[in-house]
Amino acid sequence: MPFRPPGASLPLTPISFEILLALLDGDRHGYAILQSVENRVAGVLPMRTGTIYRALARLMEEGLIDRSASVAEADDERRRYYRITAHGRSVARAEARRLADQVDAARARRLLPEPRR
Amino acid sequence: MTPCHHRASTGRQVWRAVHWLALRAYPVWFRREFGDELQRSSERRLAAAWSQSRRLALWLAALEVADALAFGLAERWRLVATWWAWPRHIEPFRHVRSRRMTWESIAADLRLALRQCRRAPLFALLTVASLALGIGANSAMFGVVHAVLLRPLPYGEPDSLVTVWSDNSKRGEPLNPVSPANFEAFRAAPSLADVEAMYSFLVPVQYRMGSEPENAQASMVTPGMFALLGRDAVAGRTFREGDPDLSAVLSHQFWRRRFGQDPNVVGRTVNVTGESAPVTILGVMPEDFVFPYKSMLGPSGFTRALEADVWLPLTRQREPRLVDATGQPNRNLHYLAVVGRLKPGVSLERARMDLSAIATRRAAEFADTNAGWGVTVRPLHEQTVGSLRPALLMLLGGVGVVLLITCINVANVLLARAAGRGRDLAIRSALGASRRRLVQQMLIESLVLAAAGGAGGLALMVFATRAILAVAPTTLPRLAEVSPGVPVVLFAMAVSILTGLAVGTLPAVAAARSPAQDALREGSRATASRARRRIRAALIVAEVAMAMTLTIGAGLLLRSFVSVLGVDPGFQSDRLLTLQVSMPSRYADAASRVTFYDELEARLRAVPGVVHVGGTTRLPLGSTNVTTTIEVEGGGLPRAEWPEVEMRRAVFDYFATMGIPLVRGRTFTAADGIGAPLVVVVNTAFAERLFPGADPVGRRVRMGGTGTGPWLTIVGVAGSIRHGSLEEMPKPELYTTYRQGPPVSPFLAIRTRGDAGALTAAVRQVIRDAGADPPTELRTMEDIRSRSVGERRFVLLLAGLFGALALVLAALGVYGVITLVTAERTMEVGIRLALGATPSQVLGLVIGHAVRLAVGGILLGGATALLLAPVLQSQLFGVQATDPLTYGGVAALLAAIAVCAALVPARRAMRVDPAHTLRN
Repeated sequence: MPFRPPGASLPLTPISFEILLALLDGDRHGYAILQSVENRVAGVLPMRTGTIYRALARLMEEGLIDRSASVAEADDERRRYYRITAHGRSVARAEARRLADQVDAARARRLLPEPRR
Repeated sequence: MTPCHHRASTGRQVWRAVHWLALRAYPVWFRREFGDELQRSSERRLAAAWSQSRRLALWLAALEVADALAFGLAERWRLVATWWAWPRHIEPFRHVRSRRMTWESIAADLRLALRQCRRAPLFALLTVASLALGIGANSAMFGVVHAVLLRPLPYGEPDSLVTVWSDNSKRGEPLNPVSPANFEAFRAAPSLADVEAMYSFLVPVQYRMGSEPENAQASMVTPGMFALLGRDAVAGRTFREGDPDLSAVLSHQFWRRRFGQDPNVVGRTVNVTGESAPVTILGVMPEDFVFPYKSMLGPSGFTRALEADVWLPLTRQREPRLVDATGQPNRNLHYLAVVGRLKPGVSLERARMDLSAIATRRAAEFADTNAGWGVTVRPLHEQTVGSLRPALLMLLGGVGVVLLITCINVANVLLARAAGRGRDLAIRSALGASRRRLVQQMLIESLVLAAAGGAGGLALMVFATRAILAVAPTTLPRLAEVSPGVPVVLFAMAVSILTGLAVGTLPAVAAARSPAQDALREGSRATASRARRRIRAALIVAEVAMAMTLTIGAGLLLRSFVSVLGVDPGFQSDRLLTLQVSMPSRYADAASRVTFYDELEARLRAVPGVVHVGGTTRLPLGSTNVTTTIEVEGGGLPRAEWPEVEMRRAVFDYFATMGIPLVRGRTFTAADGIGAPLVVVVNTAFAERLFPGADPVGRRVRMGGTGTGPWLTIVGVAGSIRHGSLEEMPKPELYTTYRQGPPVSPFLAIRTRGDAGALTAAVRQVIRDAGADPPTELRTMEDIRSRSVGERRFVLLLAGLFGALALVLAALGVYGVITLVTAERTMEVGIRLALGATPSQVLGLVIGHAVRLAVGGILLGGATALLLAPVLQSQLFGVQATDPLTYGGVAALLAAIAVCAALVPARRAMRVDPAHTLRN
């Protein structure tokens, strides 16, 4: 994989970002990712099964995630696990920063209240 | 388990199957990576939804299937849209290997193929150029075949149109024009929806718009003809029953040429020479409407004019010959070309039976005129272009063979390159590329070459089409309709793909078959395997064979052409100027016309350089024929068997001018005038046919077939000349003299001392001085004779071109392969030389190899030509399709070419330095 700066993949789609967030907790298989994302954002993002897998495909192409060798639990061995790559981690970080920056800007314009300390 | 559970599990299975099918919308790599997971996840979500609400679950089930389809297609589209940017996208899926062709592998092979082309640009350029030549020539030829043979005629539902002819089976003439009475009878045929007729020839008409009279060609059609053909006027209208007789419909071309596309032309009147009142223009036909095509007029309808400018109504009022003296439809004059339309669902066979029944009935009813006359029904399309079909298909086959030879050459080079790349392929194969994958790679490479060739061929086709049209004689029907349209482009594309497959298959299979270890072990020595050598030899033999067959065909056509040109037409065609004059309308009676002609003759004779002046109503080799039925005094034949002979009027000293020898008796003299006994001169064919073994001079005949005309005495027998074409045997013919019936617009023939064309201006001036309308159709007889062989020349030109191309390509093929073989055998040659072989022995070795290949091809090609001989025979004249001279000549030519092609590599082999070779 040739070197690419993390900024090259930005901005991420909300779903992609959610997938990266879910994988930060540990390697997961597709349905687990789907559940985890759904639990977090149910009702906010349209969660179609195909959308998740297409987002996974894009993330793989970009090299943000990768197949994982680990087989957790006593699950079906045909099930594929995915892990976040180092590149994916830095992209996710960059995306989080970008979002935080946007939120800060919204706060500066009093769109949101100041965070509680 | 409860029934409910049962239902649920059946439903699940059904859904799973449907969803599995819908998932096929995804590209294969996506399915392999995520397919199982995706289905399982969807199933789980459905199960979760089912526990909440069954309706929601059903909705979700449908949604999942729809999503699979939509997203799958979206993923596929993504592949298509971004294929050029591939590596980045397929990176994570490298390990996914499909047994089938995938977009990824095709894209990779495409890039590889383009890289190969860049690496060897000269090879790519030459290959693409030769393929472009082959594909372009084929497409252009197909364009002609399509326009002439395949495209429907420009009429409504043309497939149900037929032509009807009277079949004179006794004389073996199936395509005679129809008599007015028979035409009326044919109209009653139950299987025909409509039957119309026209003159089986075009009529020249002279009309006057300004001061100068102008000429046009008219077709006389029954008023319902346009409705029968299913075409209407583009401006104004066509004929209707009850129209005034003096009306006309214009062709689009004539309207543009003479009326400048004036939209107000409809309703205008034009003065026509010989008509009592002005003629009203009813309408203008559409641009694509051509009727009749020359060939629709039957064998006698050979006119110099190629198409009708105007259509005039053929009605009883206008055309008195439609009825005889008793007012009944005329049974004895055959001069109508009949067109009919089959009723829907009625077969041609059925119509044939119907019309034959009518003919049989009439033969019994009117034995005196109709006995022995049957009927011939042909599809109109067949009538129009059928005679061209063999020649055009032959040419298409010939140009196809040229492309095949090109393919063989390209395949051979690809094969050699594949051998050179054996190591590369072996390594790829050792690294896990499947054979299928290697074949695919080679095929895609050749398809890329063929696609480029096809693109070049399309461009070339435009020029090739123009070139073909430029050399084609204008007498070929429908040639004006040739244009490279969609079908031609589709054909070119199909040919390109087939070419790519044909060129690529052999090298691909050879590449796949070569065992990997061998190629790796062979190392840098690029030696072809035995199998590959055999394939190569077989290809060359096939190539030489095809060149042999094609060249034999061209050679036979050439010999035919030479024999046609060598035919003695029965007259001397050199130093002869011909033209058509029109009698001014002020000379109304026969006597004043004769006086006018005699004055004209005197003036023409006075022109310096003029030797003889003659004339006739129909010139040989390129004008219409007029026939008449004759009764021989004391012949004792029933009226239906009275012979039909060609008839011409001789003007001035026609026989001496044309150089037609007088065999017996005398020609016409000034004494054979009006009031003197009526006399005729007949040709030798007439004498032999009607008076076999007897002297016809002094016998009497009567014309017209009515048995009422005056008797004419035969005073002389002249030599027979070829009228219809050089290839047609002379027919019985009689001449009358202009002094006993002066024609209105005869052709004149002027025998000159020097070049006939040089007198054109002087003759034109003399005719104007004599007070006649300006002459038309000024041509030398040599020109007419040359035009009469135009179609043969055209076919020969193309066939000769294809034959020459085939020879050059075969020479290139032999050269290429012998070069390759000698390069491979350098080591062997070196050893031989080191062991004491002389360079001339080496030369013999190489040339012997080439000759062996050539002889194989020559034998095979000769045998093929012999097999095809019966097909070709119909196109030949004066030479047998098995002509040994042609076969031998072409064989010797090919052998010589093979030797020459082998000489260059052979000389190179002679100069091999054994020490140098052995050291390496």
